[in-house]
Amino acid sequence: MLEAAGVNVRFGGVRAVSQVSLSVTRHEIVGLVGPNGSGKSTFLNALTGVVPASGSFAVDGQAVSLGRPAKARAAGVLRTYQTPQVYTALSCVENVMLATAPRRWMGASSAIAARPRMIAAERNRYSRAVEMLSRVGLADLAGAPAAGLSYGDRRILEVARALAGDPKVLLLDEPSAGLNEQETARVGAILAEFRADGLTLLVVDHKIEFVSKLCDRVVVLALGEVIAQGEPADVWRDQQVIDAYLGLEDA
Amino acid sequence: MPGSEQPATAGAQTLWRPTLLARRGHKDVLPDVYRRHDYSSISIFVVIVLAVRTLFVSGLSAQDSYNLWLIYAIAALGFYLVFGVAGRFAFSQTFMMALGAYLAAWLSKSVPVWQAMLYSLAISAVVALILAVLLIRTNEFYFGIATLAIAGIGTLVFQNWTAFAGPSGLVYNIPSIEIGGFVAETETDFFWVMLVGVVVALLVVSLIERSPLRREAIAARDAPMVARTLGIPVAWIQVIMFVLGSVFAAVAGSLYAQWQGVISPDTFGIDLSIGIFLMAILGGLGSMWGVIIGAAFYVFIPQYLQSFSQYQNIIYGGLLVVILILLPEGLVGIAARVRDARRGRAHLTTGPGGNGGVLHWLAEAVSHARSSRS
Amino acid sequence: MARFVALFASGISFGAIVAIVAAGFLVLYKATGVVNFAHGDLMTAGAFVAVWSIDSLHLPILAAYALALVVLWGVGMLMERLVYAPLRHRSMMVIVIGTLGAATVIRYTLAVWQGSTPLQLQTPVGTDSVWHLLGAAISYQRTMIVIVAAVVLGFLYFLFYGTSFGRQVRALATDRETAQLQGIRVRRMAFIAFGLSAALAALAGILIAPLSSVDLTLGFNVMLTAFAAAILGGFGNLTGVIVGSLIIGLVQQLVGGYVFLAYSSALPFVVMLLIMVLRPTGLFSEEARARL
Repeated sequence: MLEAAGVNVRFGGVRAVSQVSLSVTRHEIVGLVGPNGSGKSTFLNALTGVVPASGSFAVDGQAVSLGRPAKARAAGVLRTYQTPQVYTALSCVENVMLATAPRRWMGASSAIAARPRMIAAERNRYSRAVEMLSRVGLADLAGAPAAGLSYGDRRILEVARALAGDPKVLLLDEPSAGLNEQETARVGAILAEFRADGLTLLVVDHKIEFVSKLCDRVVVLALGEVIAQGEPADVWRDQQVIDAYLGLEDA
Repeated sequence: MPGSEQPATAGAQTLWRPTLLARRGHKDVLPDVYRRHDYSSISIFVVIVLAVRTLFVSGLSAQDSYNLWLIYAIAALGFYLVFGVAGRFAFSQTFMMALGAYLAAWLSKSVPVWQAMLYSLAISAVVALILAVLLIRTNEFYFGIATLAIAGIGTLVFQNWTAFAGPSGLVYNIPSIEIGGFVAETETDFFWVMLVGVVVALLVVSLIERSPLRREAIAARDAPMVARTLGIPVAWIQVIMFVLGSVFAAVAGSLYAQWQGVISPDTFGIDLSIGIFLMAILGGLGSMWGVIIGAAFYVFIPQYLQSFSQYQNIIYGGLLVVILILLPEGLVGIAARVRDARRGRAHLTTGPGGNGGVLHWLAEAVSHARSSRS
Repeated sequence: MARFVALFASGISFGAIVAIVAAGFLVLYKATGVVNFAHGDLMTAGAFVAVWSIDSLHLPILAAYALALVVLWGVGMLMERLVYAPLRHRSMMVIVIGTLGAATVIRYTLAVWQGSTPLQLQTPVGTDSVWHLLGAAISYQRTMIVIVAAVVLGFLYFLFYGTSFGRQVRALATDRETAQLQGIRVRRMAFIAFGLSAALAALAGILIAPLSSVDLTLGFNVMLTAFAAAILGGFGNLTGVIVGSLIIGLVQQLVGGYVFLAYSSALPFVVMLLIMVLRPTGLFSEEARARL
């Protein structure tokens, strides 16, 4: 489903991600872990065109050019961010509606000259967005400004927004960061529920417990390179992985 | 930027009470913004404008200011789209006014006035489209500087291109508006024309705001990269908003030329550019009514400060800074804040930087107080 | 040939002025992140204060110049207190609009104080005296401009790269938050940067004023030209800004002098717009992308 090969990201002279290859098959949940600064988030940024990168990337067998956010989105790759990027100037439901396809009757001319069609499309988006919000338990807050949400709810809203875009592959950037145990569990439960629907997921995180519970397979990055991969339980026993984590804690 | 500020406290969401519709299970409805009563508001606005004119506006100079207010309101509504909704920091609004004015004046030498106006708008729209396509990808300050440079080049061209703009950019005897049998001759005639102009402008803004375009423009403004990863065509949306807003300015400019009969590059100088910023900031960018009120202040306040007239621009500049410091959401922002506080809910703002209303404001005030103590 | 030499010389001297303006601009931008739209009006103010010191206070010319620099340093600091400090926690866009307000206040305060009739600023080398090079007459004023600019820019190099002030400014420009954590006193730096930047603006205003006359629009076009130079130079370091300024100065004088006489002052803008069209994200891009 998702195939990335030889992805490189450079910031000035620093190699943040170097020759990372990774694939996620349909309905699989893969965890991408590693110590801070190992390039996990940068890798997601590379795939979604947020930072310039080189390498090859394909979704569903179709090549996707790197460095172009719109291309990644069009290929069905949606994502969340390390700090939840919800639009505080919009309501919750409007946040979700930003992602709902198809993009038809959205321009200035239909806003002025084809209102019935535009409104019909909006109703459709609205009901789908609210449906998504009720699945994640935020339906009551649909019309509320996203600015009023707690941090945990913002995270969930962001996940709901990404899910509303019918992702072929969903990329989550540290979904548990900044959340307490209860909130982490809520996010985990939501993801588990969507997994039953056949969600394909790549999760960057460093909470071992969260990743172990959720993921079928784990890939470990250190200093921008893949150092291990396999089933979660096996990977944690890998000496290289232990060294990478401990080595960083010493420093 | 969304998400970058301190998360609101856990109790915050209780401030918002679900609407009846929300509790009924939201089948087949639309976001709140579609339930705004814009048509009633615009009708009430027209009634108020007529009533105030009948009751208080007498004498030529008062009528003159009243018309000037309506013209500035059209240009400022355009700026609201460009700067308020799309968040583009642009100095080109007065340049587009000048372009509309000079084009209308020049074209009306050879074609009937109504055609001259139409062509002037069309050409202005094309110019705005070209500028936007070339420059929209620049970051906010580059864009500001670029549009300032374009305004500078425009002024030079209008001053020096005698065949187009007359000696030193001075154009006299611009024919008056003429549509069908109607010829605008008196201040009252022009008042009606400009009132129609403002109402059309308000309607267009209202239609845009009650459409997906507002939502996506806000998304593109507040976090462009996030918007791109959601599949929103950020550059294109900003181009559309820029062209629309610029066309409003061109309309205002050409109306001005036909109304006054005389234009010069100074009519649309840097002072008016800053004036338009002042209208927007003073009234607040939270809604389209903000700029209308801002424009009114800009035009009418000097009338009451006749004895300070030489200090007028100093006061304007100072006011701009003071408003920024004390009233981040402008005059309309206060009204909305009071209203929403009474209803017990956080309010949504549209303006750049104004995200989240009361809660956000409180959170900011608290964190500000904290950081200044440490 | 003589014409070319004359145009080349005036290109270099105009470039030197632009470099001082752009450097002042850069100091502030590096230390605070603020793009100051009042910079041009600070220039104008410097020239006006110098004229006033000579005409009304009857100070010797150089003393009047010095007084203008000191006064404008103060105006810069005042601006920091009244405009930047209260808005420092708001978005950069809000601060920049604040500087627009300040620009208006400065300009019209000058108008009320000195009127809008153009004034003449005296210079220690005399306005009409010239020397000759390859048949071209080059004024002493233009020569002095180049020398003063070289000295001032040399001093700025030393300040940027040879002092702790410079290190702190560069640290702030790279990463404000980290710099703050490392104990750099951000507020004090802003205070000094506003003063220094305004004084540099005033110096440019004093140097350019004797070439024409002192009126309210003196600084505005030069400021825009300096924006163009800074953008051409990549908005990054002093060297880039100086090179950009000289290129802009030469383009304006040579191309403008030979071809587009009426539009010569628009040439820098055209160059700037071309750069923006070709490299729309400029050097801000990496920074902006990394920050998301």
